Amino acid sequence: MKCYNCGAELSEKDFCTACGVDVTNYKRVIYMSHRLYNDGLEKANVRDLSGAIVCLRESLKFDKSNVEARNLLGLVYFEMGDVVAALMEWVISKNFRSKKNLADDYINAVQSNKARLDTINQSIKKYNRALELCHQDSKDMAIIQLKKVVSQNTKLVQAHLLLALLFLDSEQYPRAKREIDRVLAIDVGNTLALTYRKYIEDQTTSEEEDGGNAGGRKKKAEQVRAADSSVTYTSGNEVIIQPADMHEPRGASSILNIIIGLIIGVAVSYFLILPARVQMVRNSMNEELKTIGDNLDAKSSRVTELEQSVAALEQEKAQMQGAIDEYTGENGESLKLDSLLTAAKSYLDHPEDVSGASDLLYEIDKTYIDTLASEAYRSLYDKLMSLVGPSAAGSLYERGTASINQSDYTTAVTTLEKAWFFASDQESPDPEILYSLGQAYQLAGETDKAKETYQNVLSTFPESTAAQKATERLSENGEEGAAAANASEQTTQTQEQTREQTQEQTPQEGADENVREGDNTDSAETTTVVEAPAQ
Amino acid sequence: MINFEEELKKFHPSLEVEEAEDAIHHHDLSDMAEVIVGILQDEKRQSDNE
Repeated sequence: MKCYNCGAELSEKDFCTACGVDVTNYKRVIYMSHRLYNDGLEKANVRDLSGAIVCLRESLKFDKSNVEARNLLGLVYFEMGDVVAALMEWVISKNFRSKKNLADDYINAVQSNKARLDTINQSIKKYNRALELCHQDSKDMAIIQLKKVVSQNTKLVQAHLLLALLFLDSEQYPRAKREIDRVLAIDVGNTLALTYRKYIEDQTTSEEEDGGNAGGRKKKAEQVRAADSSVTYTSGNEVIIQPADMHEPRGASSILNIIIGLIIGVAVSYFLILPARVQMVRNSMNEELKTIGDNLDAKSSRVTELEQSVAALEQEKAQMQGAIDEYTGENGESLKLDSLLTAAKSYLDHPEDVSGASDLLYEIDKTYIDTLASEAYRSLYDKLMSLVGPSAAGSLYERGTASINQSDYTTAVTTLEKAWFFASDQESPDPEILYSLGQAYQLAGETDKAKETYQNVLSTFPESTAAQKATERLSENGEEGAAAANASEQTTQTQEQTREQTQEQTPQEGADENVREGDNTDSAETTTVVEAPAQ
Repeated sequence: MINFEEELKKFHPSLEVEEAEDAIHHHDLSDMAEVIVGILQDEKRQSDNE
């Protein structure tokens, strides 16, 4: 207990030891409040909630800050179903003592169950509505409302009491008694409930007395009659009264009942169960179809993806095949390399027989060597050409002239073309080979090529004998007449000078030259032989 | 005999949740302790004046 003046803790003295103020009467008031709280607590312990409410209210009138009394008052209200009044007391209590207060727990407990709080509030509203209906003399409606209220909020004592009053008013004493009993189960000392109960007891007692003996006899007769017309037996805790004239159905009626039952069962299954089953199966099939559709879509998209992938791979394969063909095909690099290597091998195996190597070298594309071939390839080719070329040119030239003599001009053209191919690659090619090629063209009827070849002889080897002969051939054809004659004279002079110089420098080469001259002579002779058809 | 009308007067509407706040604000919280303290303080004031 604290001093009202200075707030210091009070001792057993009648004055405040801190400020000296007289606290005798103040202490009495506080003690009275405590005493009433104790009374209220005792009453609450024996479920005399009405009595507890009276005591606790008195306690709070003496000391409003008696938190324990206020909390208990709220608890009693709550127990009697008046939740709002309870909340009100707890909130005020919390205002007086904000910490270490039981009211906190109570408020939280109520507010945590929102649904229950809503139901209680609804029941209170309905109770208020029922009260209004009572004032408006709509007792039946009020009874209906109150029945709902007591089913929602079974502890609402006021609702039970009002319902009991309505039942009393309509002389439904058993119902009224039932409600009164419910009230007294919650609040044993409820004065109103006790009053009503006493009234009900009085009323029922007087009715029994009024009913008297006549009623008793009548009831007894009814009981006897009922006993005669019924069979009574006990099954567990239940007493079963069966009419005496009741018989189990037998024979045709039983069969008929069974048939009717079967028909009803079939009809129920047809009209109720079957449609449901059909619907269920249909739903499941729809679900399955949906799943299958989804899977189909997924697989279709997958197939499309794979088809695109296959197309891309096909394209890539075609490109790769093209690249491979480029490398290994008819004109592939690999084949060219093979040809060159085979030519080299052929020469190395048989250096004296150059025909095989020369054929392979002739096959190799010159353009490839000039443009695309590697340095190593080109150097090997050049080396082979330098080794094989002179011999190949000589032998091919011989074979070409032989073909001309045999009037096989086509072979002669081919062979001499090859001969000139190898000869032209040398530093000082033999002009007779080129001339013979022109002659072969002429004899084969390829006049244009022949003229071109003769022109080539004139331009490339203007001072050679071959040039002279080429001039003659051209003049025979009526072209390049005068120019060719001049060129021929100059050629003859120059040729003689050159021959003399060469003989002086290298006797061996001179000898060779003589041999070649001899060849040329032979060629000239051959030419002379073959010239006749051309003329 | 119970008089329904008279009995009905003993019943009063219950407070609804929405009304709780107003009820708390208007709740009469005066108590005997306040009255006593007021009387004692008045007496003390009078004696001081004298």
